[in-house]
Amino acid sequence: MVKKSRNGFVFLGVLILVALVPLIWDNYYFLSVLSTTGLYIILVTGLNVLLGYTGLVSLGQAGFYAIGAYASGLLVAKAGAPFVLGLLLAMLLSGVIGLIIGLSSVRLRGGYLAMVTLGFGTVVQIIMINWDDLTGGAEGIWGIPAVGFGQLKITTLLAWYYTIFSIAGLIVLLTYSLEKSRIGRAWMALREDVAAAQMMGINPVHYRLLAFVVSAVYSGIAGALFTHLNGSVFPDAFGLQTSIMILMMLILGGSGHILGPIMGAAIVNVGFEILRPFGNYQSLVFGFLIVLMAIFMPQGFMGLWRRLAPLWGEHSLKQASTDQTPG
Amino acid sequence: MKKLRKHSVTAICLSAVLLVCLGLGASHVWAQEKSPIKIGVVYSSSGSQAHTGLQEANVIKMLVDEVNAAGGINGHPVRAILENDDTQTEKSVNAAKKLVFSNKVHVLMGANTSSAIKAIQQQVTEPQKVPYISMVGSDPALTKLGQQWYFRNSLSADYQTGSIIDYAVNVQKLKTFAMIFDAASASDQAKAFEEGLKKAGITLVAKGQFKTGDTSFNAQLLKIKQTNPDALVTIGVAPEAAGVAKQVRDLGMNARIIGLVAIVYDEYIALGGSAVEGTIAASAFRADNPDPNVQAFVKKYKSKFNESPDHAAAQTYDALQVLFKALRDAKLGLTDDALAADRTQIRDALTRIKDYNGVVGHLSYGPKDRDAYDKTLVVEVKGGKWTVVKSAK
Amino acid sequence: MLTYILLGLTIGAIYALIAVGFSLIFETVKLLHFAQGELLMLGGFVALSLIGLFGLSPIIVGLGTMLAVGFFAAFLQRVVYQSVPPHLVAVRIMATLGVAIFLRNAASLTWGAKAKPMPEAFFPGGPIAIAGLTVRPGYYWTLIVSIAVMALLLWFLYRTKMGLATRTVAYRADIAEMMGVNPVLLCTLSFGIAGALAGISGLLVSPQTFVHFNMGIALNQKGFTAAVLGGLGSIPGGIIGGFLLGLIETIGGSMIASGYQDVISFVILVLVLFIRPQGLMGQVQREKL
Repeated sequence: MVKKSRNGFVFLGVLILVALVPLIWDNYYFLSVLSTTGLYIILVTGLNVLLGYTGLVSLGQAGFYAIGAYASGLLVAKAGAPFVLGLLLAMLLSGVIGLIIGLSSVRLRGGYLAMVTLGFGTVVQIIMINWDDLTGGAEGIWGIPAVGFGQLKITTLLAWYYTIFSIAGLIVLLTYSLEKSRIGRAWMALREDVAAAQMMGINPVHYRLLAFVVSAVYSGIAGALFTHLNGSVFPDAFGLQTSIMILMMLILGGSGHILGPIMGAAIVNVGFEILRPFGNYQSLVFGFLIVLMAIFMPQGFMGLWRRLAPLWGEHSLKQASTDQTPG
Repeated sequence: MKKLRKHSVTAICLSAVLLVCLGLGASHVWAQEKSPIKIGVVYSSSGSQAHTGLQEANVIKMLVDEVNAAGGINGHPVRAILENDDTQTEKSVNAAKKLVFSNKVHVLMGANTSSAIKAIQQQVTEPQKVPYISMVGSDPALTKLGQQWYFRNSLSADYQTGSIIDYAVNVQKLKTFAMIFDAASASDQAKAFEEGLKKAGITLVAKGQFKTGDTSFNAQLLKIKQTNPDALVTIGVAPEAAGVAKQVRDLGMNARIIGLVAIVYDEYIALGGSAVEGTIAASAFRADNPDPNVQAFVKKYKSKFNESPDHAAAQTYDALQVLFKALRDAKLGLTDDALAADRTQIRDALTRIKDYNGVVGHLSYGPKDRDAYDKTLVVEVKGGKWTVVKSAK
Repeated sequence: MLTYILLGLTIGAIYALIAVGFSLIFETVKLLHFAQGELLMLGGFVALSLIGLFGLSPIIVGLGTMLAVGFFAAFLQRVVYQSVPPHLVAVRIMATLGVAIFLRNAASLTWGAKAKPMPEAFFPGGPIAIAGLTVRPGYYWTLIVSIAVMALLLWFLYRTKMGLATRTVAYRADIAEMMGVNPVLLCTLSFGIAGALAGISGLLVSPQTFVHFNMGIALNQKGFTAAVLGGLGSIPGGIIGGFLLGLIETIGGSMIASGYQDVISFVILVLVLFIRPQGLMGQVQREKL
């Protein structure tokens, strides 16, 4: 009970912050970084469902991101469809492909699954680059007309900022209710001990596939938002580096915790921009920090938070079970 | 007591996030200055185009220091603000946004791939009305879509293909052509070349593609070998092109290798060894050009940086000299309020640049298009060195 | 056809070296080392630097490279990877990815961003003509040296006490400990050996690929596929898998549209993992990784 209200308190705080920031700082560049952060919150929440809750490692989230982005972009640009349809197609397509890729999790675990998803992400990018006629090849698709809801078009960055964060907020709330529901508990049971879960009547195949579909759909939504935020889509943005970033954000923020993605996305996105003064050394320092994080903060920020919980007398049974184990 | 601790931890975390936001905001405040002329530069200091980006940055730093030592432009100091983009388009756009919005630069330069330049045009410089000069970038579309604020200080693929095709067909009498190209970064050049060939009445007998970073081309080359072409057009950057050349010779193919500006680097010869002998290519700049202007530039660059300048460096040199000229011409207010007006003034002053003799050649922004150069040399690898076989007339 | 086979075997030898390194690390340390390709890249650069210092002496440069990268890899295991909690799979993967990013950028800053060739005169001897192909010394030396190295490794693993200890640690670390073997030391040693393998393959592959900081990425993926094909954890499997993948890619690549070449290795990966996850020579997988 106490934990619920604490999470709620933080979430509300973040919402207020998000709403107020653009009114305090009228800086386009800053808004742009924050909008990208919003997209990543959605992407990382998707990975959180897969890895944090269900214990399935995926290095191919960028693949679903790309599918959603191109699906919506193509539908709107070539067929003149409205945004809502583009979004729906993005969700549908990435969901279906998520289901197919999810089938590999039936037989594979840990590093093997990671490799297959990595291959998947790479292949999606290769297809986007080579299927010139459909995707515009390496150049991508440009000049996609502004979208919106009916007559109301979203044309300014500020409008997109609020749109993205509204959708991100909804997704976080949805995920939270999933986490607390029977589905969430089934996922976490599968993460801990498959045999025990099966004995309790949880079908691993069903729930793993569900986790894949949910995370793929989230990524697809983020993809559609990406395309229309930029008015263009190109394969450059959907490489292995992106998938790695998503993983990084999740682990840094705290895998398995609902607020982990928010913390992780905020810290990494803003942090990377803060590293700019390093100039040539930016990526080097980035790599170094990832390694440091793996050694000293494997549980991420929310993990640190959880460890502090005994400080205020809360001994939640959940404590023991939120460590990650392979599975 | 316990409740207090709990809330204080929450408060601490929220404050951390707040502090980060403050930091960003503060850096925005610090970045504002009153009287200097600010040039923003997006370049690749890491990633696949790093070798180009670093040379550009060298020249910019060298010339900005020079002009400041001589008292600036009309008395105002010049400040160059450089941002790395790791040769990734998304980062290029972010860097451009930062320079334009946070640093409030008067003019933007750079980006090392056509995709990045296009992205910056579409998302930053055209809507925000900022004059933008790029020193590389060959995609013809960069100046063909009605861009109002962009100046291309390099050779469009359209201009690169004319003289080399003419030379290949009429001087070397090559009849059958095959092509292998980098689909990830040079498909615009490949298209332009193919169209150029069509205009000369020639259709490709075989086409293969690879992507940047590939090292093995045997599969594509074996297929091409079956059609036994006189010439193989290799479109990509130097390392891959050199790899192709080596593997072409290994497979026993005798085709003449033809390339565009992107392969005319000493690197191509260093990497390709004996296999690249006889390659012909279109070129913009040659460091051994006896023209005294060129030699002065080459000497200056070599003495400062211990390496020979390539065409990215040369194009940057010309771009900056021309920009300085425009800056001297323009009436600049150089206050925060005058930013938009200043940018317009600079853009207009740039459009007046005609008939400038740069180290790369004859430079003009207009009247036909915003392409600085439209003529190329043809060079050939002879005795392990790039030699001019046809000059740019 | 002979052309394809020769080419396939040459690139296959490189894949084999990477695959063996992967398998060795996986078996002993239970880690999927995503930075293996970067160790190969390091090997290439170290070799170039050694050539700069000692001239074109193949033995010194070759051994020097193996030792340098080997020690560095051992250092990585001891200092970095061992410090990451072993049961957190995702975090360990992330650590290797961080190392990969760090090494790539460090290489670019130390040795420059341009691709560098291996001096043509480094590999002694002249080109041989077979089946319409000009086989340059770099290629046939790759085959000779890699086969020699793999033979050496197999001898070490199956004919020496140390090798037996390594294999025991891989099989059951607790049994090994009971027999008086120090698992930590042996894991470090395995990493060192894997590093040496990566180092020499970096030197060998550079006639084909040139040395540059990005050279490890694609080879990493191919090496892993080869390891899985042969059976992750099996050294002989890695060798066979490597050569097999090289052949399939070269022959298959000539039949399909060239842009999609890399899809071949992905398809192979998926097929193997679904149909026969233990690969050609591995043991049937236990549930836990």
